[in-house]
Amino acid sequence: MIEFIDVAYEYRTAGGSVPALRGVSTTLAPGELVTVLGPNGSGKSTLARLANGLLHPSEGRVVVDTIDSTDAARVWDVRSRVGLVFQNPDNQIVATTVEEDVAFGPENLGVERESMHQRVRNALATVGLSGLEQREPHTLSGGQKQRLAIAGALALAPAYLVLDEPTAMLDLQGRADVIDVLGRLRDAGTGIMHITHHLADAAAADRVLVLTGGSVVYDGVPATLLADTRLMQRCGLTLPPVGRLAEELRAAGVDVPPDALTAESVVAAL
Amino acid sequence: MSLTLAGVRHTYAAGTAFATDALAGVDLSFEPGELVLVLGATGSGKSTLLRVAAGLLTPLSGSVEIDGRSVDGPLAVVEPGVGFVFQSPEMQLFAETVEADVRFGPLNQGLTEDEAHHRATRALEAVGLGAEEFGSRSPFTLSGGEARRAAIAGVLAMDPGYLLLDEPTAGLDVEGREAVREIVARSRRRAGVVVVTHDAEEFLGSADRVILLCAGRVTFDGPADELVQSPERFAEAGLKAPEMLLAQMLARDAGLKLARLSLDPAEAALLIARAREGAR
Repeated sequence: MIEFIDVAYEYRTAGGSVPALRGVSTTLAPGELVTVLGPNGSGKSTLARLANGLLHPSEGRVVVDTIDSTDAARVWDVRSRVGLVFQNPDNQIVATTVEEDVAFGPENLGVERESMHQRVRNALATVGLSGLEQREPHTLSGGQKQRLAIAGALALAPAYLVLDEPTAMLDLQGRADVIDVLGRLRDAGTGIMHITHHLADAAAADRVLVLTGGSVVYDGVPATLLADTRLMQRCGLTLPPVGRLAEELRAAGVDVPPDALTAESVVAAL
Repeated sequence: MSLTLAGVRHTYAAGTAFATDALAGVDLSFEPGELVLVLGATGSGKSTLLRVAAGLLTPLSGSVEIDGRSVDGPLAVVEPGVGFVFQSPEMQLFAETVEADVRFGPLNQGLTEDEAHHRATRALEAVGLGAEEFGSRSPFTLSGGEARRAAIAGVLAMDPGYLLLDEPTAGLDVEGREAVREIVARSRRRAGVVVVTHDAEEFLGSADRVILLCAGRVTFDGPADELVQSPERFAEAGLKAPEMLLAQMLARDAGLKLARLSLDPAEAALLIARAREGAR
């Protein structure tokens, strides 16, 4: 379990300090998919960087499987448990073939050759890139590149995966592919924290965490949030068009559940 | 009057083992006063198309003309012909104040300080950043959405006849996206506007015309509503249709006789309700 215990974080600049998070307490359990939403500047990315000890809290504690993230002797223990994937896959791809790129992490940790091949194969299979081992990464589509970046993190066999807007550069199909991979990883027992601007991504989550101005304004199941229009407004969230269609249909007497945010789930209610 | 691309082909790293075809023969024309949305999967040639149209990239073959003048090389950008808003343009803000940043373009076009100041003031108003409140602030104190709008103002201040934008809403929150959508829609009053995006839902409702690109070719070029009524064209271009349209396609597949498809949730719900009545 990753525990954030009353966490505050301030960025120090020449002109003073800028608070990014305050009083944040939340958790991420193995096998749980948590979607993190909130406007620009609400502290989402800071939360991601705190999760694996890339940043240390100004106040409070971040604890990963009972290890304090500031414990200097166990930095690598924390980082190998929590994988981090960023927005732009082009900044995270290092090798000249898909296979070498995924192998880069385990190789650097000194993983044995045979078990490394196994890890690379498994990671590529999980993200649906089997068969592309010898391709040059720059010839992949955006969605494939982002799944390659995820495979690179998976090859380190992290217990938790934190993704900071991994679909921002992708088209709708690429986005759907990545969401699908996240669901499968969760089912296999990985704890997933998915930071996104797309409310529609919340429908697939076990829990939704909403940040505004560095504080948690909602932490709970998606259905409760989505059914509460005023809370949504307070969180600066608006339903995607298909969610508004569901709302209109409900008003017309059709029994559509509040967390129906995909075409399939809306039409299933008709 | 138009921005015209004729027989444009381009291959990156041509003649090497890494050759990648980006545009495979594109004929397109953009008119002043229209908002054209260009959609395509990643790698379909969208960004290459914009760079060629702006004169930033000389294609291997084919021609680009602005209002009858041939575009040859990057000078087109400095001349008021074509303005280009790059992806994440706020990364390029550099001056000490917002106003100075926006004034930079017109000054480099050879306008006087007074004229440039006037242009900057108007451009800032156009993006909803009043010069009084924002003009003297450092660009680095702006929020993500405000910085994006300031960067767009920098291009508008050069008064381009055609405005090209690459993923103008990517990475912004709800409020920021809505503000940029409005600015882009309004800009067609002063320029021909071409928007490239991978999120069809962002501009499909406000665009006059939509172009679908697939593997460097145009597979659809027509009024936005024509595409809305035939959403199977998305899949043909390797794209996922917006969820709103997918829902209505699925409803049709399930036997509901919808009179038409709509992007407006209220109208779509009404049409679905009517179709269900009819089915009873």
